[in-house]
Amino acid sequence: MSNPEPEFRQIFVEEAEQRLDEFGSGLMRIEESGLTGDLIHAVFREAHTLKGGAAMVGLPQVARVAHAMEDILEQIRAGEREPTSQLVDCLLQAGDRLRAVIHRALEGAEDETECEAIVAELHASTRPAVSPPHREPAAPAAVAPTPAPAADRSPGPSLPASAPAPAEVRDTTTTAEARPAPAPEPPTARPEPPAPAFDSRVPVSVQRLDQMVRLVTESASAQLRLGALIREQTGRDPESLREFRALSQVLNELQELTMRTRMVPVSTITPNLQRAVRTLAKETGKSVRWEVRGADTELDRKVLEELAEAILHLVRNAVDHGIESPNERRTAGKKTEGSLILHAMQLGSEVVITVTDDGRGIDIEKVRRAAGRFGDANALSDDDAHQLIFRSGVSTARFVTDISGRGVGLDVVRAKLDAVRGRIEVTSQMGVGCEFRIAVPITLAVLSSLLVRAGDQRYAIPMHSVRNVLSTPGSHRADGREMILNNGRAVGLSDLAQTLGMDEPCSGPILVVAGLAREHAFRVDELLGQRDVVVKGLGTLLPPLDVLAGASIEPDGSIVLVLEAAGLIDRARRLRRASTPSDGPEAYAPAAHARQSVLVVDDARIIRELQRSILEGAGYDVRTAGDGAEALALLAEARPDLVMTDLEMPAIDGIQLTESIRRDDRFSGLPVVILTSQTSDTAKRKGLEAGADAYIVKSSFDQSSLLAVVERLLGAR
Amino acid sequence: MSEGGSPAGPDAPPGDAGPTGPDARLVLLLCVGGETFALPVAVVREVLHRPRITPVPLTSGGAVGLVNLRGEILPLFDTGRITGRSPDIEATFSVVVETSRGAAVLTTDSMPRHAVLETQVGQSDSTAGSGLHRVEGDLVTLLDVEGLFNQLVAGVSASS
Repeated sequence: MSNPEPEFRQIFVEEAEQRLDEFGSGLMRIEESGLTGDLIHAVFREAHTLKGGAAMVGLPQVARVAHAMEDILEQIRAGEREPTSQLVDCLLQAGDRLRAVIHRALEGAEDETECEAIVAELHASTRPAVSPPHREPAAPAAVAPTPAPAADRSPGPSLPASAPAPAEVRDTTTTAEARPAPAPEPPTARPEPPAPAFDSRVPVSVQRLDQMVRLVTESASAQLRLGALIREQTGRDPESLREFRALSQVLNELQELTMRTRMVPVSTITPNLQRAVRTLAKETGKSVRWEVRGADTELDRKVLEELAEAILHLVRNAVDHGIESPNERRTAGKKTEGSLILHAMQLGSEVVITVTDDGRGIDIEKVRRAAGRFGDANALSDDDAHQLIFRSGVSTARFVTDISGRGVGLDVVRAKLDAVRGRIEVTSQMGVGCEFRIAVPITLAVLSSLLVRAGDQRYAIPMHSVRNVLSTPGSHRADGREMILNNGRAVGLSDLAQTLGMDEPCSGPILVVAGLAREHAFRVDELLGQRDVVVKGLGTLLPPLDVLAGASIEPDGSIVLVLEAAGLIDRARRLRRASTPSDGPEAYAPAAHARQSVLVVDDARIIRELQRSILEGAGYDVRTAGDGAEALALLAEARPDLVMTDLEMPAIDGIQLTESIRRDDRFSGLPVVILTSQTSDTAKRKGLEAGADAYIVKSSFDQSSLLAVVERLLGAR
Repeated sequence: MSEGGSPAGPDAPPGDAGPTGPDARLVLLLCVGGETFALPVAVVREVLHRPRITPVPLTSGGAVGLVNLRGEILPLFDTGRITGRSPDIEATFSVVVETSRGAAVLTTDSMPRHAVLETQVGQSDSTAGSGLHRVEGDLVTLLDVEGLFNQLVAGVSASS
């Protein structure tokens, strides 16, 4: 490729950064922990991939250097050479210099002279050492994001350098080598960027950051407890004590700073997105201009991690289904090159990310038809109808959102957003384009929340989900349900205590809460005020609950549960449907299943009971059976609306049960879902051949996806 | 013990010196609904007396609520329910156990006590048990805490 497009080189540079980081850290691990097959293979692979990529984007000299590195690694791999500290240094320094060459190549031509020099030095390193090895500590690649100038780099035994590296740079060498002698001058002075300061970046494990956040949180809690103790023991307001105020201030700053350490820029995920766009555009024969704005917008690493897949999904969807082929675009009077823009920006305590394409837009009529089985979609405005694509059952309609053969829909995107308490909306105009707008909190760790009481429990509701509190909390009975008028719009009203499974209804004010695509009002007993709460996860041992975002520890040591607006609204709406016979505007919620029944078949009682709990919580009637024989007996008593069965069971297993159901005319059309821990394709094929409608691997889904499958199968009937 | 808790080890019978050898058989006995379970001391962090429990709405699988253990939020489980027995309505004490998935709290009817596990006298049919043992003339079920929670979580991710 003699004239590669600049964007490809940019991609290569970004990838090379990562590869060289891995290359460097792998070498250092070899140096520290000794040689293992896996490790040397991994390091070799990095060099090898770098070589291939460089050749692809028209950087043959870079490829040559990578090849020389590969040669040395091959010798190590073959046991012909020892990965001595000198050799590791030599490779690390070559990697650093190569990194600089790659960066400069982005702005112009390859630095052939420098590449030759690196190769020569690598080759020289393969010669037997003629003098005792000496070395200066080198800046590890992972420590210095910008390559250090060659002139400042420390040499290996045969690598010349002009000056020793700064003494404070960490030396990973653990062997008792002699301190290096001053290095000789390099043969030529090379114009390179100035050396980075060594405080520019230090790799810290995420676990350590999380631990720091936890400890800072603990100290903040301890400080609050201390304040309570001072008040109790002395009767004085702790804030009147200068020392206490100073402690508060320091802890606040420490907390903010610690939270900031978890922040990463959106640019962390854009290289992958860009690659996905490029690959998919090539596969589909489309021409797409990819643009990123606001890439330096920062947000919590965990939020971004969760978001990455959702955004990738949207980006792939835009290229695959949104942007037209060059011919179609030409016919439509558009530029043959489509445009796909990712724009990130911070708005208050949220980051808003938009994914905008200038493609064909969403066919709203198809969406209305797909949603038709849930109610009269024609009654909805276009805007409201567009939001239906995030619904399971609609979003899985192939023509709307099936993503590049991945078989998943936009409901998955919504689920990802749910996990980070985000919202998503879409606007679209046929023939003009489509814009997905995602809003997520900057951090999950500290949330400004409204504290409320329902029954004898206190709950925190994140402020970004609270729309307003009604000053005149009157409600109306309309369409068989309790509603309120909020800013001229009818909004469903539920009782918070009852939504959370308590018996006694609330009798206090009403607040309006926003989920992803809709609002809902909740009556509570009391508003306790607004406060920042430090949200802690509930761990992996509790069953995941859609209505909970986490928990926070109060100054008095009590625990306040943090509610998740979207899950809360979903549950409230399900409960309302279960208690309301009529259909109507709210028929757009997942299929009404108040009277639908599911037969759960599993020989593990604990799994049966958990499934029962989840399904009953969603409003289904559930019967359970411990094996296929018992299931057949229960089926003979009454036909359920769906059967969910394990595969491996005593007596009659899941396959036999499914086959029996399919053979029996009484159960014609009865959906069967196989839920198993067996992941093999063979097992899956056997299950589907037996007549199952869905095959779900136990380890790969969560509560919402289980319900989504059930709703999809029942809603589609 | 108490809300502050106490390590499982101090009351160990004399002659037991470590997790290997004789101490491998050192257990904490939990009475739940008239049945006695044995927990290897290696998985026990401390014992709590009437911890303050924050109920978690809509939970299943024997999860009772949350406990604040010096700033750490831990899930509390009804030992009776998660072992397939009756709910542990008498629970006055709780035992903090360590699992590879994090710490959890298990309820028990009375103050747990240390004992040395004797000969295995049978297999446990319960998914939570790894065997039936004699202890001081009584018959106890040795709890497989890791397996118990693995199964619980597998069930959660399966049905959840």
